[in-house]
Amino acid sequence: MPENISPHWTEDDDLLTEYVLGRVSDAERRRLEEHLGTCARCSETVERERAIVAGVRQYARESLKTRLKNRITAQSSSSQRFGTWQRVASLVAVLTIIFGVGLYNGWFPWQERGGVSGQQTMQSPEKSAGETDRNRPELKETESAKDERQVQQGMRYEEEAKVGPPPGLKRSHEVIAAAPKEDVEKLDQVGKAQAQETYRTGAGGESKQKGAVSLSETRNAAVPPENEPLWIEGEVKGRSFATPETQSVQKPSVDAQFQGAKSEGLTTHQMARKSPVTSRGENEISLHQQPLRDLPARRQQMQLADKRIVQARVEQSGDKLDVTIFLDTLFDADEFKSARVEQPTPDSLVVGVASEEIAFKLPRSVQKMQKVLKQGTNK
Amino acid sequence: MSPRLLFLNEDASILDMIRRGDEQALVRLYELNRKMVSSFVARNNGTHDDYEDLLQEALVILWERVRAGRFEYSSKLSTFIFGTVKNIWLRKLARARREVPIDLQSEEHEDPQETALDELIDSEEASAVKQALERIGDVCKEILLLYYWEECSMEEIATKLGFANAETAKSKKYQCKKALEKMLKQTLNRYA
Repeated sequence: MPENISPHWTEDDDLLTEYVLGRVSDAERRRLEEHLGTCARCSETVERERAIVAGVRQYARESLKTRLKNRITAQSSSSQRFGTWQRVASLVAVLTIIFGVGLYNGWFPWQERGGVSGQQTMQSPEKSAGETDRNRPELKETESAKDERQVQQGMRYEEEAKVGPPPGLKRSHEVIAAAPKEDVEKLDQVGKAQAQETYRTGAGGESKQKGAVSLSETRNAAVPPENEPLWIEGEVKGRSFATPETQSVQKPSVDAQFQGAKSEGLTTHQMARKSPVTSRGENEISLHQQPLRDLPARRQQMQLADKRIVQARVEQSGDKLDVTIFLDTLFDADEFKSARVEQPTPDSLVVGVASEEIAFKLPRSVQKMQKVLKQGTNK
Repeated sequence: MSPRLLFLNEDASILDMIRRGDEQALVRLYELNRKMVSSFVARNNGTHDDYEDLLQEALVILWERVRAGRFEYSSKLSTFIFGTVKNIWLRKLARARREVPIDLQSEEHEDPQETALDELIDSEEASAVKQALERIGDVCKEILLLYYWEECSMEEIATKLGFANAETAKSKKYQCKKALEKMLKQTLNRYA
């Protein structure tokens, strides 16, 4: 306590509060209380201050208690309401999960789709397709058992090839639903075929020329990846062949060789109008197609959300790249025969099938894969 | 934006909530200690209403001391709450002249931070002050609550209530206190 303080220290409001609130030291408290023992007025002042403090605290505590009671009551009633909603939410969550699993696994009847089933493959001309097909372990088992049916199917497709693809038959998953019923049924029949089917150019299924393209149509043939598959997304660019009249002129022959091409600085559109530029042995790409339902669920949704998008999987298979495009309606064999695969620039890939052109941007990982393959081939 | 704090335990988190003025901390403490207090009161001649009131009172005391900077974290919050509940219950039992259970009689209850002020809470003078506060203006009430209950400094009061400076807040507090004393004088007719 300062030396010059009045003996009636309770006149100092701050000191009075400090004392009443117990903030003074023990020594100071003793000194202050010495005066209180001899001064009634100061004692009364101290008592009044204590009452004020106690009253303020009582008021504040009761207000806080009331607010606390209200919060507890409100919380317990909202917990009861939440309990009911929680049960409802849990049930909805469980049903959603079951629905999602069912959708992914194709449990629901509306998920069956028509279209050419399985996979159609074009292979590089260096090897005859037949030899390659025979060597593919996944084909060996079923070929011998289904020869007769395959021939019949092949004959039917050849007839269709003469007629050409039905006019107006588009590849949009939305349009296919509105396609003529007979077309849908036709595709549906093929889609349900159990056998692996092979279509070859010419009678007897033998290659006319060395390196001629032949197609094999397989059902759910899994290409054993040598590396982890990479995914790329393509965009449908629309018609690259202007009119049906010019289509037969511009359509490459069945003997055309399909592989990647060196860049000539041409645009994709220009490249499509030229005859395919070949570069044998370079950037060999093997094109496949698979139905949309074979895509992982997430990618399916991405593709369905935007009909211009086409998902494709890139895998290394031996000394070439397998590019598998996923479609809601597969191209039929004849159209797929005429497909073009071009690589105008190292980071782009163009697949032209029938009246459609799908342009892919190749990420660095795919370019790197190609580079490794090229180095392997040159060795 | 203030950095996100990482609390090592529930008590630290709750204490921080109290310091920030978040009354939800008390609701959490209520839920955490409800069963303990309930069983204690039931074993010691208490009722359901008794335990609710006791627990809420203990929580309010905790709030008050933390906000005033008088709380020393020397044990778990549940320990402090239980000790406070026991002390309050003992006082209530004594006032109501109910039988005090033997186990409570024999124990020495060390009140962590009890002061003489707590004993005045239920006094006639304190009740008169409470009534006067309900009649006094909102600003005065707020100043007195901040000064005497939360034990804020004049600088803090000036900041919270928007006064120009600490001196202005001090002057205003003096005026409010005089007004309160005048009301008390009228109510109690005991002050000269």
